[in-house]
Amino acid sequence: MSATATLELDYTPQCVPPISNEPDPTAENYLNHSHTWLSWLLTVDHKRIGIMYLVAVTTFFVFGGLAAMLVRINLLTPTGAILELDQYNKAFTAHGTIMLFLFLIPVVPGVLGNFFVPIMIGAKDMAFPKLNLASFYVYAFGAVFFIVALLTGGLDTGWTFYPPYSSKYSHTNVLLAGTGVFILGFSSILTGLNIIATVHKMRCPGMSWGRMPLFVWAMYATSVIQVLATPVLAITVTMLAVERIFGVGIFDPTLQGDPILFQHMFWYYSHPAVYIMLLPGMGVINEVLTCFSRKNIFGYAAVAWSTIGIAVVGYLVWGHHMFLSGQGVYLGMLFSILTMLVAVPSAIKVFNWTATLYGGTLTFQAPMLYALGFIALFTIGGLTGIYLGVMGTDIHLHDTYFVIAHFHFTMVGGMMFGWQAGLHFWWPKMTGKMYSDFWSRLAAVTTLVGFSLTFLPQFVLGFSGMPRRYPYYPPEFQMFNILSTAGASIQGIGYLMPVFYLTASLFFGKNAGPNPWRATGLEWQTASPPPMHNFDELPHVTCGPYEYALPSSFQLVEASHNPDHPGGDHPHLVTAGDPHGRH
Amino acid sequence: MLFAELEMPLLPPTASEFANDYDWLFWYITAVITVAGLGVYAALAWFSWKYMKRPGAKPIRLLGSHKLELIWSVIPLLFFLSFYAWGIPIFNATTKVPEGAPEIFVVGKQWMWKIQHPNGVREINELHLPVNKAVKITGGSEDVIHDFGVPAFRSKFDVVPGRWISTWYQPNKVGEYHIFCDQYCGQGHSQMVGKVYVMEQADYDQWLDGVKKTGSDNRIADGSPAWQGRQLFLKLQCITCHNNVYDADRTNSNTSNRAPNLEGLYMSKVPMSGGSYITADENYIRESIRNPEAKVHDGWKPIMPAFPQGQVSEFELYNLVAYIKSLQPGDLPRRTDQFPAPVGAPVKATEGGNSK
Repeated sequence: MSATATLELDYTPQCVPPISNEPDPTAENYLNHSHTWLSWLLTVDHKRIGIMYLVAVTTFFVFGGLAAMLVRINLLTPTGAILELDQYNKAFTAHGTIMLFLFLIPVVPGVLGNFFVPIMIGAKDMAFPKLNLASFYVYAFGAVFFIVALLTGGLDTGWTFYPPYSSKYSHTNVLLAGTGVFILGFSSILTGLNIIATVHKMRCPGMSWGRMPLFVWAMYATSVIQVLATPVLAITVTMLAVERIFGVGIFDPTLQGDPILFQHMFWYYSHPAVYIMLLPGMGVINEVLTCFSRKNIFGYAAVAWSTIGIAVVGYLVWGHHMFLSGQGVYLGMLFSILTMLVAVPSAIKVFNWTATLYGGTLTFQAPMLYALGFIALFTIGGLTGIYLGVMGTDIHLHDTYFVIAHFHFTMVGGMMFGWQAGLHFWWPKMTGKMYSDFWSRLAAVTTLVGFSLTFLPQFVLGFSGMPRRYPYYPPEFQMFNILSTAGASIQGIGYLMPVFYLTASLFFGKNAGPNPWRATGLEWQTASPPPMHNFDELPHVTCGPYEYALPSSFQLVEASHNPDHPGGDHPHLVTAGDPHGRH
Repeated sequence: MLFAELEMPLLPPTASEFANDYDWLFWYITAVITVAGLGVYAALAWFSWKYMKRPGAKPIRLLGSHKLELIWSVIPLLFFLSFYAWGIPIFNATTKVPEGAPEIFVVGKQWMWKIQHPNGVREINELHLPVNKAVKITGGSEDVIHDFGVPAFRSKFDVVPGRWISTWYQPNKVGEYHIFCDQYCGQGHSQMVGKVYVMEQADYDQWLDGVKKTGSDNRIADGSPAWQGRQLFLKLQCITCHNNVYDADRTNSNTSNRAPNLEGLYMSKVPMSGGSYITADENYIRESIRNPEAKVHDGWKPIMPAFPQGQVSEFELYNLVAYIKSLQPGDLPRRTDQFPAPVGAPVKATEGGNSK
């Protein structure tokens, strides 16, 4: 049997037709249904938990950014402009540890993952709402250790904690910070576990794996890494603590330990961890690019599988951080070739994103500008990583500013721009308010310019040999350091601007409406801000996630009784189910 | 022009043959990724302009292309593999030390570089080298992990406590170049820097002469590492057990010989319990002094005392190992040779053997 119905589009969701077209502005939503402090602190609503993460990570980003400014200002002169040697070491360690453990790792999974994964798959909440709240408090608890460690004397090991410096020679708060890392790891594991369970068990009818938004794919892959890799970090810092407290020889060669063992264990976590930081940002880009170019993603399957490919192969490349540590030539060769392999899926993504623009109708609001900035900067970040993954070229560039520039291009150019793109894309949904178009575009451009000016000179510095973590440096390097600091100042302004105009939008912004971008995802089929349980009625997905290019009026054809029929693994036009008969 | 006025060239100096080889690979990768990167940028810019929203424009519905996916997976992979393949010989070149290159020993400690030349001359944070001569550089650490890097040679290797790692240079340009510690090592990390002075052979000889004449008190003016090691070997009473008096081996249980004869040990296969063998390279000999119980020669009891850093410094350890490496059959002194020759005596280790 076959039934048809005519649908007028502006615009089409994953479920046809939209669940709630005319939201009542006075309706109850997750923000206004209760206002007490306890209703926030004890909430098990994934959206409120996401907002709490937003406040926390933004705070830490400010502190990490201030530490970065100290570092950059100090580097204005070859003998340290403002800080003593010790203070400089503590400043760059504070910058690295705060940005990685307290900001980059939790930012997208904690805020956007929490808020949007359940909505995007049509669920009412996470699979384990209470565990979700617990993971926030575990994060807060771990952060307390970090803050105490940094405020009571600081930490000077660098974020890498290499022994025997960290286990024996450093007089700073290694144990406190290590405890913080240990606890934060559990938060990461719990969040990952929750997202995996949610994606497996909570998808609404019709939401097959092949119809999931690519952001959900990215969050899923990230979660798998978090669950599998983070325990190794916990084990490693535990061993470090045992050595530091009890003098048991694990890493210290004078106690018959092996310092290289630490590096293997540390990077076994920390290399996958850079994908924990990067993949969610990549996921966001898929949502934004498709929406603002009104196109299907080019090569849905290729993008989804490249995400999985990065997650899997990313486990096997940790030794490329250790080519010069004396691990041996053959081990180096193995890690080097695996690194070449993991570069391929990243390249595939960049090409697919670029091809997605082809034939679209592009508009350039702030999320799109950030997304394009992401592609531009990540391209440089990824390509410069090749030098470091090839054994030969790594020799000279290892531990220089080239490495600093490379990973800032991936972590900041990648993840930070991805995060900004996502925040700007979903801000109207999270708050119900629209921010200033002009200021947000200006912020995106400012950040891009400032970022490039900060880190492009560092490639030159690195190739010239300037080592990382140097408060003093030969005077001939000064010019490029000044350029870099100038760029960092512009970049800082670029990060400050959203704080103001986004906050202002809460009070003065006009109502965004349920779907200001005319986007397709399920999250846009409900009110802004969403009601307490996300949807008034259960969504029923009938097509792939990015059907932006459908004709403005077309026939819905009921092709099958089974919404999960095999064809559902490909985005397709023909939709299933009677639009009037759903519940 | 601009950068010359600002006193920093855009490119670092190249002062060794290896640096040239390295740079070829570097610029090859740079050329490829520049083309690739500009290609992506051009596409982004072109699409952004061409498909900017215009009245009446409709997006096309395009889901992908297997052919394109294949093309842009395989072509980058081929280039990546070419980088990889070229990178291996470059990396290997740093580990293949030319035969007969004299060995310079570098000790990293917080926060200085101590350097010992093959003739026993020592210097701190400075390394004088003759031009166009290959030298082997071996590094050890007294405390934390350091990294001995010379950007002009495109050379760098971690200096890790508990083991020695080697590389080599052949400087080909006279000049003055930076030494950096590249592995973060604490407060004075950025002050753990020095200079390499590459000199004409004549200047180098002159410098060496000057050092010998004015050698300060902690500098042994003459005597190879092996010669100094021999003095230690006697002083530390190694000879009491490691001797060849009875020409004993482990099957002869009646001897008073309690330890293996070390003659000809270097690079020989040492049997372990369980039937496996270990090649007695520098790091094995080193470990067997610092931590004798780690890998005991099969059949011998683990009775040798350990010699920690407080007793035998990293330099002394290097010299001891250099002596043991030099031992050929018949070279070991008699136990009666316990009183070493006066410091400064021009005796070479290989001649110090069975002299009465």
